[in-house]
Amino acid sequence: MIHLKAFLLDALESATTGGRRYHLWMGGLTLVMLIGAYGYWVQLRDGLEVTGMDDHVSWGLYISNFAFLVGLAAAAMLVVLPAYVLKDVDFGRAVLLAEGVAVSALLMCLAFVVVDLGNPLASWHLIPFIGILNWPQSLLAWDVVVLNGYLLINLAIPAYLLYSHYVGRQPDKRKYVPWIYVAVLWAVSIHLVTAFLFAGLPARPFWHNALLGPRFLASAFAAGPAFMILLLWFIRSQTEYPIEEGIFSKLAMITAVAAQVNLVMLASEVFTEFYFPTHHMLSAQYLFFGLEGHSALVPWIWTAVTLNVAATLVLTIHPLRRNPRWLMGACLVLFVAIWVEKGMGLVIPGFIPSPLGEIVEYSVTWVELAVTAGIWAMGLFVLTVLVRVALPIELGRVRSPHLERVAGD
Amino acid sequence: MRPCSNGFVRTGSALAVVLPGLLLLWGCGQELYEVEEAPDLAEEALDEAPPPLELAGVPTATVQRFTGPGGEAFEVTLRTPGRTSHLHARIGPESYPLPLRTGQVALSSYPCASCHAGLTVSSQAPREAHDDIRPTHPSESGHLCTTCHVADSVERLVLLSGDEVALDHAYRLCAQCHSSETRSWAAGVHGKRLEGWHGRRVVLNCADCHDPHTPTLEQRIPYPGPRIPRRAGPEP
Amino acid sequence: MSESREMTFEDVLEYVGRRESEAKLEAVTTTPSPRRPEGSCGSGSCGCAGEAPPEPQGELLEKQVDRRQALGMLFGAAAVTTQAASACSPASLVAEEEREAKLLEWQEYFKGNFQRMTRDEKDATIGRLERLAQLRQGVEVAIDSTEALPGVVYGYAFNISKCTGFRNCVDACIKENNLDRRTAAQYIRIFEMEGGEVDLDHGDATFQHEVPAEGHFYMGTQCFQCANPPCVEVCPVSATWQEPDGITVVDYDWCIGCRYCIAACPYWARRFNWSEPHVPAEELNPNQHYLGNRARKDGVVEKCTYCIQRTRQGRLPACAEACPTGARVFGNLLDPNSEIRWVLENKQVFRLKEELHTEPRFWYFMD
Repeated sequence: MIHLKAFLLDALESATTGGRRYHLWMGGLTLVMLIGAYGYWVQLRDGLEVTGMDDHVSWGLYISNFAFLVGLAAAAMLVVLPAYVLKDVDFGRAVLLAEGVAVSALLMCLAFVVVDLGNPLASWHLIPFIGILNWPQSLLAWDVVVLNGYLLINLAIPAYLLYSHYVGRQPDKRKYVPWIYVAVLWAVSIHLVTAFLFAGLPARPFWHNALLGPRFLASAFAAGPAFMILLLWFIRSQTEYPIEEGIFSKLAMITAVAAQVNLVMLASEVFTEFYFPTHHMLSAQYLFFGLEGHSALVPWIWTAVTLNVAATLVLTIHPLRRNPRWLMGACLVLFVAIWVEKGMGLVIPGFIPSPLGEIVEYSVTWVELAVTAGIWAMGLFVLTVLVRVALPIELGRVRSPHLERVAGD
Repeated sequence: MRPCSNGFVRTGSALAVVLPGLLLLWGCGQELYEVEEAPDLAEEALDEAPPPLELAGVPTATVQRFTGPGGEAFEVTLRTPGRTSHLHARIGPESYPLPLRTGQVALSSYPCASCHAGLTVSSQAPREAHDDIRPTHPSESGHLCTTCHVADSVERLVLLSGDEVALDHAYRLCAQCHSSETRSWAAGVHGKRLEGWHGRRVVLNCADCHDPHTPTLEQRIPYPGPRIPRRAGPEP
Repeated sequence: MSESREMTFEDVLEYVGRRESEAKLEAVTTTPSPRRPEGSCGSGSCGCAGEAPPEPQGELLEKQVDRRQALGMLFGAAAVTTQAASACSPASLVAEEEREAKLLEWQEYFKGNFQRMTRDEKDATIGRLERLAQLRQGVEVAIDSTEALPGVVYGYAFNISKCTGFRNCVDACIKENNLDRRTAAQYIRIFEMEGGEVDLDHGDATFQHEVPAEGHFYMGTQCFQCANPPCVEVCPVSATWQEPDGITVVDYDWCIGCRYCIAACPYWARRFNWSEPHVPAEELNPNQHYLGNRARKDGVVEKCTYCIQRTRQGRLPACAEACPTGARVFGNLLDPNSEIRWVLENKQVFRLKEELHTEPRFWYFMD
């Protein structure tokens, strides 16, 4: 018990101490979060009317971000998978960070769902036994279950590892390795379930195809490691945390393959939609070329596709991929491209045209932008805190003061 | 715009000609009494959507020769269409001293002759009270008033076979040409049923909706359509 | 079969009506006394200090309550008693009503899903909602909770050769169902279509010229009350379900506003309240049903219920009654002698998007 108290105090201290740049960063994030909170307050006061959504486009920026971030959370497991299942030591150091990314991404997912609810005070209706969780009929109920379960697992494993290290114990493999296997399978499931949430709707032909799930996975497995590369690179350049060079090439390889697969799937979707155009391709037509004079998403998707192709090319060409500068640039570009493609490019065109053929376009409002920025800031804030707490423990700098002997292993 | 009541006014005014004399009187009496109680009733009625279709107090007659779904008998209403009948179109809403013999006759089944006894329908163009009739139906030329009306009675119609039917059963006249419509009407699929979807089946007569002399509904401006996208509009 | 034959429709109505009126009576006794005249709380002496807080707590506590309700009432009661001390002032009546409304809203927050409520719970919430309408909007409403009639499944047929696009149905629907006037909510869409194809994509719902227009026909859509409704499947909290008479309803107070059902509906039949819906008190239809046209709130989904508040009383839906052309046929699909059955047996009918296997209970036909 005394260990736990000291652990929490030390964690608090780690998170609240740092240099000027650290405080500026955290202060900036806090400011953005406050702006987001103000936006959400306006939304609560006036209703979702203050967003750009309406009866036609009934999901917008929030759910787009949700779909993207589920992928990010799932992709963190890509790093864990080789570390534990394939026993690749290179990845070992990155695992805790990956789980931190997963936790932050999941918190953002949940936040995006909550801000999207029209009646958030009634969200207790989702809790089984007190409320009614329509499981297994509703895919949204599935999502609630798998996301929360994944969050718990991804909180529990790193907490156990860190705490063990903190108190100078070797973590018991029998206790945590089975959970890692569970988590790996679970990671795939959270993303598939989220894809099925869309793909299970015959009302929306744009989503109602079997490729949606695999495409979700492929894009997530490209965007996730891309983000990890950026994060690890940042940590390696800013801290003494030892991250082997090899991990970058391995992660870059994963990113490259996933990005290629993603492009192949995109191409096959585009082919089936446009080779013999049917009614069901109207959404795709809207997205890529505009429909009856409505073309708000066209510049977005072409930017995304261009960036996607460019980044994939860079990642595919060995000399470029091995050059850190090119690699970092490509990862950043890929991350943004997939965010646009999967967010704006997947969720919104599903609603255009409406099932009755009416075309209403969607444009975000400042409230949505503020809330979205606030949630991203919250995710980065949480990630920063988690990294800040984890690194000193992993480096052996912070150990429980109640230990008999100073940890030296 | 009051899209719906126009039809009623017009149908009503036409009926005033079709059912000359007493029908006019009957409607007038009804209307005048109501008008006296609430002088702006006509205005209100014009503003309102169609009056609620309620059965209470409306005289009915069992339909002859036709049966509803399942071969069940049904009834036809004998009300005059709409509350703002032909009379308002002709004489306006003000009180008009007509010798309505209420209490002497049951005001149902269009008993025109109880007042206008002895009146006849001319075979020529309508005169006097009915000079506003511009028959366009049936469209073929050569039809006279007496093609459908019995010449020496204001209460009876004549079929092509020479058989006579009362105004109550005017649908039989229509059925001579419009057989499929009448079949649908008997089935409850053309026209309208009074009150609810359940129980005793009472339907409107043909002339309740269609002016027999110009039966096609007129074009009109519809009620407001949707706001796309649905956003708060200007304050009304 | 023989059992449902024995019980006639009138019997059912009478039975239901009796239960309703009993329920109303009970609800009235459990709700606090109605608004008293202004100033009955003496200005000099503190006449109202000892007045009991609103009654429902005591009354309700005698009934069976589950944990959730008990919790709600406990907090609510606490809230009331803490405020009771400051109750005596000229404005105390207003304050008292405000407190009563707050308490009722608090209790409403903890109520369950309508599907799982006992009769007592239903009556209690209806009593609260009626009282709240009085306190908050100053309107007297009667909220009905008539259950589905035995042996009845509603069906609808729409004659596309008769509809002329007058939109009387749209207007009647707005008024009957207390649809939000501020954002002009409409359940019904009438599409003006050119001859030659039945393709809603090429239809126009915004026409505002003289109708019927030459060379066009008109096709109405609304909720089709699918026998296999995708919207019901996807609801994560079972806030929407299909009643035994085939009507898919929403429990507005259980809905969390995720809008998954809107995404799932292939007929775009559901509407969301993007803001607090507004109906002027003088235009409010006070004859309401819990699952039908009662007041909705900000952030929840609503939809056409075939006018459940009317049809369960044997009346026609407002749209069918208002239609001046007779294009709308409504009735009981289980009654072989109903008009709707006649249409299905004697006309060539079709439904929208049949390939989706949603089995709409809404057919189109032509003369």
